[in-house]
Amino acid sequence: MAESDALAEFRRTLRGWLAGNVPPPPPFKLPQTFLEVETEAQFRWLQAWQQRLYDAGYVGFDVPEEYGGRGIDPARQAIVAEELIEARAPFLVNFIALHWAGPTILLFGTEAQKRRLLRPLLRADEIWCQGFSEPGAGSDLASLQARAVQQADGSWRVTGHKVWTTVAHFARWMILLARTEEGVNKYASLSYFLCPMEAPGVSVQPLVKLNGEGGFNQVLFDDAPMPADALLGERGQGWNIAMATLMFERGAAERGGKERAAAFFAQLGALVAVAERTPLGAGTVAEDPVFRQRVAALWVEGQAIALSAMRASATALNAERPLALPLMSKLVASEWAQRLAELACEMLGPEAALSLEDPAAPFGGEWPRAFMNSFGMTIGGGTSQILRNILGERVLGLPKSK
Amino acid sequence: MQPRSPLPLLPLPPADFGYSEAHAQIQASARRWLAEHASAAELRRLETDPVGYAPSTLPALAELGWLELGCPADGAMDHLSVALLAEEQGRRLLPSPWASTIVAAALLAQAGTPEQRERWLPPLVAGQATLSVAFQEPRGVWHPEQLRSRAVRQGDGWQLTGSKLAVAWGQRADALLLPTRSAEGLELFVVERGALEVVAEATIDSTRRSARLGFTGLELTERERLEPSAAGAALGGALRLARLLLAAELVGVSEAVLALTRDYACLREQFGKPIGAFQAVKHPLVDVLTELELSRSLVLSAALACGGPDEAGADTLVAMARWHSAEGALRAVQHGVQLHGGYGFTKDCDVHFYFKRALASRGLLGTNVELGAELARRLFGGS
Ligand SMILES: Cc1cc2nc3c(=O)[nH]c(=O)nc-3n(C[C@H](O)[C@H](O)[C@H](O)COP(=O)(O)OP(=O)(O)OC[C@H]3O[C@@H](n4cnc5c(N)ncnc54)[C@H](O)[C@@H]3O)c2cc1C
Repeated sequence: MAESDALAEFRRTLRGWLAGNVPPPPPFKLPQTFLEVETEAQFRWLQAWQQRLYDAGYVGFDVPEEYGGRGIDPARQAIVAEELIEARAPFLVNFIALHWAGPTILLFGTEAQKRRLLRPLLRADEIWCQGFSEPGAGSDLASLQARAVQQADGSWRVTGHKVWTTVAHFARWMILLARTEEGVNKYASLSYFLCPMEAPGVSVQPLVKLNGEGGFNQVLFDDAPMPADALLGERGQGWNIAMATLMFERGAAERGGKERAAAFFAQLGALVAVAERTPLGAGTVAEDPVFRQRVAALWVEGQAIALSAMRASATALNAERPLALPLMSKLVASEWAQRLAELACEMLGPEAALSLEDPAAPFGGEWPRAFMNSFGMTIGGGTSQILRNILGERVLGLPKSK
Repeated sequence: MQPRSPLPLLPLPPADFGYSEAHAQIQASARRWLAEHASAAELRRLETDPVGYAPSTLPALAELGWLELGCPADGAMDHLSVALLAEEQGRRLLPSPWASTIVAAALLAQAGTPEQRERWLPPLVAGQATLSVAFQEPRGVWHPEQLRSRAVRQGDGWQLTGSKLAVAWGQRADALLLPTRSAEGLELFVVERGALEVVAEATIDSTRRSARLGFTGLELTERERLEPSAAGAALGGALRLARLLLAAELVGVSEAVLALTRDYACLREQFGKPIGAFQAVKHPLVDVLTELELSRSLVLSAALACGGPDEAGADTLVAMARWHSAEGALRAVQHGVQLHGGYGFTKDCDVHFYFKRALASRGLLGTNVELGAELARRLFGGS
């Protein structure tokens, strides 16, 4: 497929810009994804990168220009995503904002909300976090307990306990799900807020992940005030809006198959590099027939996942079962990435035990770190089990599991 | 995050996967026809039938235009249509030598002499003759360079010695295409069945019959030899097509088993509820679903690549499709039997037909271990 001249030119210019602007690695260890941003130094460095990319005109191809975006342009958006991976550019730190909160605000926000919030979101001037989960309400999200009570002047006060809140320690805003209504069912009593994190009564406490990294938190609300216009959509509409956010989060929204393909190529290429560079006996892992079979299997499965992400937008072809590909994409991609990291660790043998701190750790100790972090993707945003329930019930029409 | 190695670039499908209104129509008409003509009752009737397929089937497929897909007049095969039809037939397990015949037709169209094409293609397209390519030999040999069947020049003619197995519908084919090796390299011959020693294999899969062939000092003339200059490419293309068809069929097998088992899981009640409400039943069915959707993406992409310029890329995608769909189908039929419980263990339950097809297909034209090794060579080089 030949790209139009204009797009090819865009790609060329972007490539040139990236060649001159992707920063060299900082003197400190960077997190692997937006889920693990821990220190102020990491955050500032990543924020500066997103700001620079935005200022160069490469962020916001899914947001109209009047809100600070570059206008809706999926082709350019896909090119940017591909080239960022190709150039091994740092990730964009305001990930939750760009991919989940932003699209939700665009769908449900008032004109004033969109004008106020979207530009600083795109530029990473204001970071967003997501306050859905609570200690007692993870998979069963609708049973959450945080309460928001409307005051006489129309403003709100919120009390509750959110947990596993990624990037809350740097966030200016939270997409917050709280209970607002009495006497209706658990779904209809929820509302969706754009909650300012700087309010009195909001406190953020870091949590430590299994591999020792930080990046997520618990957030306590003690009668914290929110202005009247913090409400997104209507009162009681929170569940439906949250479902839209979760669709974005699970990759159900048509977000580039080519982007998925580029990510797949990067991950598999990294695995191949481990095999080729890890000594085994007189040769390398890449010469071992059993490891070769296992890499081949991951190649096939990854290729299938990348092609399926592309096929998701060939709607005529998927008429028999339109929801299958969108609803399965996070499930299969996260489980695949987990198997890939596991296999890389297997290849490293005893040295898979070496952590980031050991200067002799192969590949900087990134693989055991990646394997541990891969569980963030199979748990966060709906666990693999919950996604299988959803696929079984919504796509196969099996009876509900109670 | 890591230094990365370059991967082989594989052909990517166009955004719409080349799926046109015409393809949608072919698919819909295939579904209609198959719903009417292919049923589990018919599979049961044919189990004991000596031929194994209804005599009316091939003329009907000819009428539908499915047979000419193997040797289109302009030479440009629509692999996507072929793959879609193979999947539909896999869903119903329609017993017929359609797949083996169009593979043979493609081979003959590409490497046959004018006389051979004239002799075989018209009746084949009309559903009045069937051909089959004898790819597979004992000891797991199928690769054109490893064939042990020998062709030796004898005066003006040839003498062939060798044996073949798992030749699809070979016991009924009017003629067989025999890949062999001679001092000069690969040789293909088209031989009428009567000249060969043909034994019907007793296999587990009654829906696709097969035969063993033997030939010792078989005298042939130049007239039976295909164009040697085209033989290598044509056999490579035929292998690719045969693997693609197998892969597409196996996606159909997974689809059918999923539908049967899903319906059963909604109907069958234990502990006061439909068994599909138990996650130990639900989740494996979802795994069947996700695997078959992934397989389908590979099959369709492979089909699209088959018509394209990058032959090595097409070979790789076809190998991937065949690997993945065989893996998925074998898991699908295992869940299919297990989740039907005691009923699934009987011949009353239709799942057994699919189980047998999945198992019988798995080792054809390369086991998954061989395909894995083949793919690894593309990634890493070496042996
Ligand atoms: C790295 C990471 C980042 C996160 N970031 C955020 C964030 O920014 N904002 C936010 O709101 N949340 C976030 N989360 C929380 C995440 O959404 C929840 O952890 C997730 O929804 C699961 O809820 P839980 O932890 O309460 O587990 P539980 O719901 O208690 O589940 C425990 C186990 O039981 C299984 N289980 C539960 N119910 C069922 C069922 N019905 N059927 C079958 N199995 C079931 C689960 O699959 C799981 O294996 C994050 C989580 C992680 C790991």
